[in-house]
Amino acid sequence: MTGTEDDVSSFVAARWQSLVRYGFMLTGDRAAGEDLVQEALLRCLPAWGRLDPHGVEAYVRKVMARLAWKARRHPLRMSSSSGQAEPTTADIADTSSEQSDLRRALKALPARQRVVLVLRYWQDLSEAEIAELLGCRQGTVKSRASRAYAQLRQDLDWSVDTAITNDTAVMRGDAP
Amino acid sequence: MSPADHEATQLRERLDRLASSVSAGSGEEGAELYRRSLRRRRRRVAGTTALVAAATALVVGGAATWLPAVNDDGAPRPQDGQPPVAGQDGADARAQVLASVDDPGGRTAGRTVEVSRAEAERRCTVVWHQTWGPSAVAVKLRNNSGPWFEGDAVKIANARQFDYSPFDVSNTDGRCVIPQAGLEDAVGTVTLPLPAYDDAAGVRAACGQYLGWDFSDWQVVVADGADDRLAAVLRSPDGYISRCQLDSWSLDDRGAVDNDKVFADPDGGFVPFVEITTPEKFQDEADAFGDYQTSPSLVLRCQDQAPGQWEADCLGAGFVSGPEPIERIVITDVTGTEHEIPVVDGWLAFAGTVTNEADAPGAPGALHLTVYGADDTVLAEYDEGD
Repeated sequence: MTGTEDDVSSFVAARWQSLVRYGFMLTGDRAAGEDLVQEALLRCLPAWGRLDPHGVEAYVRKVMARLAWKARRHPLRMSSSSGQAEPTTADIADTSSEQSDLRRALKALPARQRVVLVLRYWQDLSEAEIAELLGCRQGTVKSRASRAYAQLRQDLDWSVDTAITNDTAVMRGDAP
Repeated sequence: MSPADHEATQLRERLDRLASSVSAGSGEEGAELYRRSLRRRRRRVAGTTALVAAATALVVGGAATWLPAVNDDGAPRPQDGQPPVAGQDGADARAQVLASVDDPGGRTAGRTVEVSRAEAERRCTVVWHQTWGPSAVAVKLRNNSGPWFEGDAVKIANARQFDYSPFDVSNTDGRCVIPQAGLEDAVGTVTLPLPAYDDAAGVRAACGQYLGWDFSDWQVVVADGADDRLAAVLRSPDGYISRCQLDSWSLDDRGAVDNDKVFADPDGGFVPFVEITTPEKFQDEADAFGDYQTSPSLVLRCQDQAPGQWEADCLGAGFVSGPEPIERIVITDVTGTEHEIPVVDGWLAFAGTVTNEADAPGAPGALHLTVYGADDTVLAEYDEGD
């Protein structure tokens, strides 16, 4: 192992869980998320020494998002590792009904819609920031985010009333 | 806070909880996974890094009509006259990925031929050994209860018994698309050198050999070629489409895919890919490109070697549609050089080499695309990433 590779290993050891969770959200699958992390790290390796140490994780996450976004353009280079259609108990520590439903709905979204939805509604990036990150037009982000959100609401049978009711329950400290 | 804002906040909180619930393993385990994947890539051998293993197995398998790990148990068999479609559950991302190579030829080409199960197993055994290397094991097929047809995608019951190292595909199954009679011996191989793109008979032969399908009465709609690459779209008399993309980079002396080479350098070139499908599939999978719909992306898989500037080998064939008929598309690369993508009846093929650049892995490059209609009218202009 070279010094750079040791640096990468140390970074991975420190940030693995966070990165895999990010990969899981981008892909809808834990194994595919792990693959995404590995692929992003390998692609970052040549540039590692030039990266600002404080910005390494942001850079890796950027590469992960772009790889996930481009997965359809390289359909033969991107695949889940295990072929599992459903998560095992090891994938999801807490398998509450809400999380199972959300995970299923997230995974069912088209890849690009899922990426945009995760960046917009989970990472809280603006449409302009996402467009810059993914290298696409803002209008593309807007339309994909809108479609993803609508699909998710439909799949989860959400209404505004439901959301507010659930929110109230959460605020009271009850189970969501 | 408006109801919509409130709901977005709710969604964010739920996504947070979902992410937090993922059991990701320890950091040390992750670091070890990374070190192993790095060693494997460095040793230039196939690894168990599942992304690479599965993806390359898919590439090789797809091209050779072998499809690992598609969960299609229980999926209905196709009706007569309808193409078989795998991954119908729609829930498995891998199935979605595989769908592009899982729409083989038998019924779609309108020349359905029934074969016995024993014959199907014999042909699939030949193809399997052709693709993954010889062994003493014979393919056993499963999960088909009805008649067996050429072109049907069938699942291998004993895939894990095969010694098809160097791949560790212990988590995957194998699939076979039953090749046409007498063509199984050459499935997954290409006779080199590749034919010139304007050699229609040669294009039909090369594409058909790799797929195990007789294209002799198919029309080569459009084709493009470079020194060692060929892209073409073929059309059957009854309207089905074959997309054919061949690259000698990945082939060994036999004209078969050199798996070690592909694993060692997954971005070094293209693994051959030939499929038979319906025109509608391209429409279904198209991406918006301004006012135009294309499948695949007009960037045509020019290889991603960012950061910096690089020579990008492109290889792709597909479909483009829009408000006006398209005569040709021109890629202007970062040196100002123009590369023409021929378009015929909306079908396109490109096998050129362009100079591209980007500032980070996965970032869009800097290609400029101009879409021309009749009389060289410019219909649209786009930059890569639009």
